[in-house]
Amino acid sequence: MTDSNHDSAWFEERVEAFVDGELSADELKVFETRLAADATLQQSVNDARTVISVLRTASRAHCPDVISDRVLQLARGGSLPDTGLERRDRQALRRVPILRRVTVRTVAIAAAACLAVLLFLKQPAPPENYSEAEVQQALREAKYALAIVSNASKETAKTIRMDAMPAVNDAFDRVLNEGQEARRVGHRQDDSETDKKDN
Amino acid sequence: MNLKDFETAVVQHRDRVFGFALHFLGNRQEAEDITQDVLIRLWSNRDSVDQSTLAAWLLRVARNACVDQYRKRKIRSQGVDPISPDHDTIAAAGEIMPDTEIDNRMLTDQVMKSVDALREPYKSIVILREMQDLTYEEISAALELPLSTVKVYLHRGRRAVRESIRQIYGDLELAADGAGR
Repeated sequence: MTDSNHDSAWFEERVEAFVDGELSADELKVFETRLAADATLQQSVNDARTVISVLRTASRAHCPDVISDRVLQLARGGSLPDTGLERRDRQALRRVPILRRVTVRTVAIAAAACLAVLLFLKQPAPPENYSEAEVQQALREAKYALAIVSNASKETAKTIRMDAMPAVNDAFDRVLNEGQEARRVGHRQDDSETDKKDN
Repeated sequence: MNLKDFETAVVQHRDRVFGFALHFLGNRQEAEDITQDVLIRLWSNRDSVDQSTLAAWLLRVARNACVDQYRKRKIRSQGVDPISPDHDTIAAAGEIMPDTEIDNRMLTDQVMKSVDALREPYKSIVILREMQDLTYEEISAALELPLSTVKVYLHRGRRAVRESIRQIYGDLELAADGAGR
């Protein structure tokens, strides 16, 4: 592979790879040969290094504590602890009456969510002179409230799926079995009455 | 994932998620909202997220949220160019000579605007690699792209930035010299 095999576009396409040290041995040899004699290519390599330098010195961003605090607060207070409840104790829980399985925490979350919605609805019509920052703050708080409601809904759905539905299924099965049994008994009685009449 | 694991994950990954969103959107308020949403989504999906690929999962969700937000911004501007992000607020002063501070800030601002103008996935790859210091493997996992594609796209993205800066400055080397680099 020699320099004469390639046009300037070939070299331009490989500037970034050269700066990152990712050219193959053959390509590197050709590139370096051309670089030594080509001022335009030297300029491109310098430009590529400048771009990297600028990007890498851009400030490291730090997430404000208030964001993670808010999320952790939701996680700590907004859901059932999953240790044991979801797996190990599932069968034991099924033996407990449904109403006792709804924890105080779930009820509290649901009540808080309803209260938040009610308070939100009761707010007087906002004046039109709110600042952008106030509107953004209100939007964030609304999203947070929705997240709480969403989480509470999820927990409620989980409770229904895990606890209520098996109980309902059991009840339906029991009713169906009792109905079939009753029909069987009825048929037997009909048969015996028919036999008596025939005799 | 239990609560303790979640707390550890939040502390460990919040800056990376926030930094990506901030550099992608160029708007601190939107970046805060995205970070909050992503972390809440992690808690909501705590039972299904594989902890060994947690960083990739978070960045994938953050990136999708940023792309959605960017589209909404475009729709709101109704065909006009999207609002130019305020990259001045996130540009670093760096090691600069006092008399060249303005040139340096202008160059940084132009580079950030050029990155902002990149199409996806070039933009995400440039941010994740050059500003968030992720490895090729981490980027490949986060964006679900082959490793070789990540490398090629990174070079193309940086080249596009270099060429757009060249168009503005003509001689970028002078600008860089002026910035003390």
